[in-house]
Amino acid sequence: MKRIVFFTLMLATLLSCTKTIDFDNEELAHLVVVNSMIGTDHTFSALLTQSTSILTDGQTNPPLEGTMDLYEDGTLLRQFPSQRGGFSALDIQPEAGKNYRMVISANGQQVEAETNIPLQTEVVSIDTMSTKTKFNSIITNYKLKIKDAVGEDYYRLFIVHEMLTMIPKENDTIRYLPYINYDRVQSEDPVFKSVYNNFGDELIDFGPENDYAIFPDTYFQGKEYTLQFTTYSYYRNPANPNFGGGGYGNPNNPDPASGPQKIFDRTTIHIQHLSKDLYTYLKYLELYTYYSSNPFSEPVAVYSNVKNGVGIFAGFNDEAKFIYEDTYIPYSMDTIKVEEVQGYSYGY
Amino acid sequence: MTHRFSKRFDVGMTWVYGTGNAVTLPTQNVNAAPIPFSSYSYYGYQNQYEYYGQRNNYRMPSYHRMDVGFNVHKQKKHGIRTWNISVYNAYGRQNPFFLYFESTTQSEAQATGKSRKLSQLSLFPIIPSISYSYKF
Repeated sequence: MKRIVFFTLMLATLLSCTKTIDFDNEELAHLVVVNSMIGTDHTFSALLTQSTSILTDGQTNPPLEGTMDLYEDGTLLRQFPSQRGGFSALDIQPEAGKNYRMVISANGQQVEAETNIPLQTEVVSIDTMSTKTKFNSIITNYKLKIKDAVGEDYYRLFIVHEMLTMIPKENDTIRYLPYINYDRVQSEDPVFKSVYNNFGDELIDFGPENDYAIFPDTYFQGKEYTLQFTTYSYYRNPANPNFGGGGYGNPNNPDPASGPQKIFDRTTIHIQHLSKDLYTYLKYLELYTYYSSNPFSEPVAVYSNVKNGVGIFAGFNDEAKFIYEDTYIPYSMDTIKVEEVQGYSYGY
Repeated sequence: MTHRFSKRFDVGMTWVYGTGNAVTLPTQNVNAAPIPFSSYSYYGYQNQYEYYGQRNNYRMPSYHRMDVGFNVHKQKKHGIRTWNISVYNAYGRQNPFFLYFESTTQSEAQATGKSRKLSQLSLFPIIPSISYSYKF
């Protein structure tokens, strides 16, 4: 009996290698969180929330109420209170080349943040070349030449893919279903790889993939640069037997009552000019995501430009964009009413 | 510290103390900004991130332990034989090796109102040992 007790105690001593330790972060809790990204084609808005303790996993930050002084190039533009944890001014349209500063009082604290809206990206030319693969997919190669301004500049490339599908009549109503996807930029261009110094020949740590497709002008400051990238589409080739497939409707369908028909397929290439704040935020957010599950990596702090608080206030210019549309069935948006339909995302 | 009781018996003891390491721990959960024109913000790719604040914002518990050893010597024909009985970390101090956050159990969450807790992993609890040596 004594032997059993002895060995049990020994085993318990050897195995009890973990224990909970006190961690009181209450005094650090409740930081004011400000998130706002402003562009020339968006009216001004900002979200105001309060951070939550690290010990409360999975809880979104509760909204916070406060007041904001918004300045444009040093001149007070508006003083307004928040509503349901946000500031919104439908009559304030940020302008390119201007500087914006917000001073927020909330939770007994005063936080400040400042950013600028860059000028529109100067695009010199854009060339496209489409080829078909043996599997009937269409690959489009783009050559986008931009003229970089003097000084440090930051860019982001993204591709929006939209489709509109017409669904057969239900109770004398034609329903239209839009589909929006933000396609991944496929490119071997070194400017994308340079962000994380990730050129694909690393043996141990490949680093993140630059999912946000951001890049600085480090390699072409003040010069012209031709950016090369590719889009890939399977369902856009009319020669494809599954043309418009994937449930999005074949526009060649001879019997519209039998299934959905695709109306258009649209690709929009955006070349955004980012403020340094937005570039740095996206860069470190992706690094954070990539390394957050790696117990051997150094912690990555997500960039914040909010003084006395946390979050991001960043400007961008999205005025340079190019639309490529294949229209399969003539349509007019004037005759299509937009309304939200539950369970259908957004319906027209 | 050592003490010799006789030519045959002696005992040794050491006590080691070190201030806990400074580490950088996240303190807050912060909502990420919705990113315009990004599927990542739509599909919850990175809805929240952990905020670290200042570097080295937390000090781990201090490190200390006591080791005790007892030696029995005997002069033999060709040398000295020594039996040693010792205990590493005699009072079983759980010194921190690393810290990590883990989910609380349901009962813990009900009691504390928190869904995570900070835990530490310790290596080398009390370790007794016996050795034999022969010096010639």
